[in-house]
Amino acid sequence: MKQDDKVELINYLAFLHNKMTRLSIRLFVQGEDTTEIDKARNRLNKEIDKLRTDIAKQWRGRAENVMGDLRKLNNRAQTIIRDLDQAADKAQKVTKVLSLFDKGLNLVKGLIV
Amino acid sequence: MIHREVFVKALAKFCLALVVTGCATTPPDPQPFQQFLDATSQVAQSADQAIALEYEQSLAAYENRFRTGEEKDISKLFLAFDPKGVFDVAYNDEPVFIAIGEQRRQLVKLNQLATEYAALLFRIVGSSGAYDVAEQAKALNTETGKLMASVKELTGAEASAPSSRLEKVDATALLSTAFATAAKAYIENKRRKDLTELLKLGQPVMDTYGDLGQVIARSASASLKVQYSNQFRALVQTDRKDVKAVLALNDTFLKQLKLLRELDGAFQALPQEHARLTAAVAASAEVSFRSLIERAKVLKALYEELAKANAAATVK
Repeated sequence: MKQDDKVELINYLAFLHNKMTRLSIRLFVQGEDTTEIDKARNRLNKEIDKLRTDIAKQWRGRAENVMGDLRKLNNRAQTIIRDLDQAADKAQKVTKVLSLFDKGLNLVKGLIV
Repeated sequence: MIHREVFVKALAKFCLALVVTGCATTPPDPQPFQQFLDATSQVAQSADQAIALEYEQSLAAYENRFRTGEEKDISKLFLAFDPKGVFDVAYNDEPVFIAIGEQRRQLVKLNQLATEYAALLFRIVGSSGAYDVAEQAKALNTETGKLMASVKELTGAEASAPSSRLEKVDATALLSTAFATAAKAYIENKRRKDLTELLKLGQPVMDTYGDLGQVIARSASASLKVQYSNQFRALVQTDRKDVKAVLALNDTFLKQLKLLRELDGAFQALPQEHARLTAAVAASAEVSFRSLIERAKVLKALYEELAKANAAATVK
């Protein structure tokens, strides 16, 4: 069963549990015996817990895969940042060198008549 | 003798060639990335708070079952050893609160990685690069200008009046300025290309992350509904006339449910907003995350309200 179907099922079981609880409360308020309905509620409670445990286990397996993918993405992002920083650093160095070259050219330009 | 006009023309052509090699672009707007980071961080925090709440209630319900005698078999909590894994232990029949606790531990790691991803996207947009190069060139140009003024003073070159055509072309720091402009264009192009590629790779991952978050919100909702029904039933059993206690229980439950509803919506919106981020970088369009940010704000407010209510209940 797919995880989405299990999530839908557990919510439906919670709805049934709510209906049974309502019945139990009404019987109790009227002074009736609620033993049987409460036993049924508890059984359903345990089934819901089992399903919740199953959903959590399946979720953990899927999350493990996504974490692996996110680690790869983050490594790639760090490489991109490093590359951009290095490109900017190189560009700054070249700009400095060219600026010195500019000074030289301007000196020559100033002397040319 | 080299003529000044020819010399300056040659320089200008060289610089133009440098600029043309890189298509001048502007960097992507960092604001949507900042908003995406803030929203991801808030949604992750709320998801953790939601599952923490489910864990606490689930543990309390489990303990209560032993107290009331509904559950008698404590051997379920007995750890079993694995013959293959020297340090591996496990529950034969994992109780629900243990499963939720494990899920929470993994969710914390998953959220950290997702928030780190959003932070790295923001860093790519806002990392150093062309701006620094342009600033560097500007500073150097000023220095060069000052130096040239002193040289002119010393050599007396200032005395010779430049021709009217030469006045239109400032040859001071032409090469460095042209290079800085070309480098800026190159870096910005690279930034956009790499970012677009990364966002495309990240889209299916964010889709699954959003789905996993919705599973958390929806399954926690089922658990809390069952806990609510049980607590209500227990309250009626104790005192069938305590309206105040019943209303307080209802109020807390409604707040919890509202928090989970918002969380579900936020996890649904997260991959959609990520997709819009991709489109915004590719098309240089403005993008707004208003809906996601509003959801994140609502989540924060709801949690704070719930935390206050819980604190008040604990004091009582």
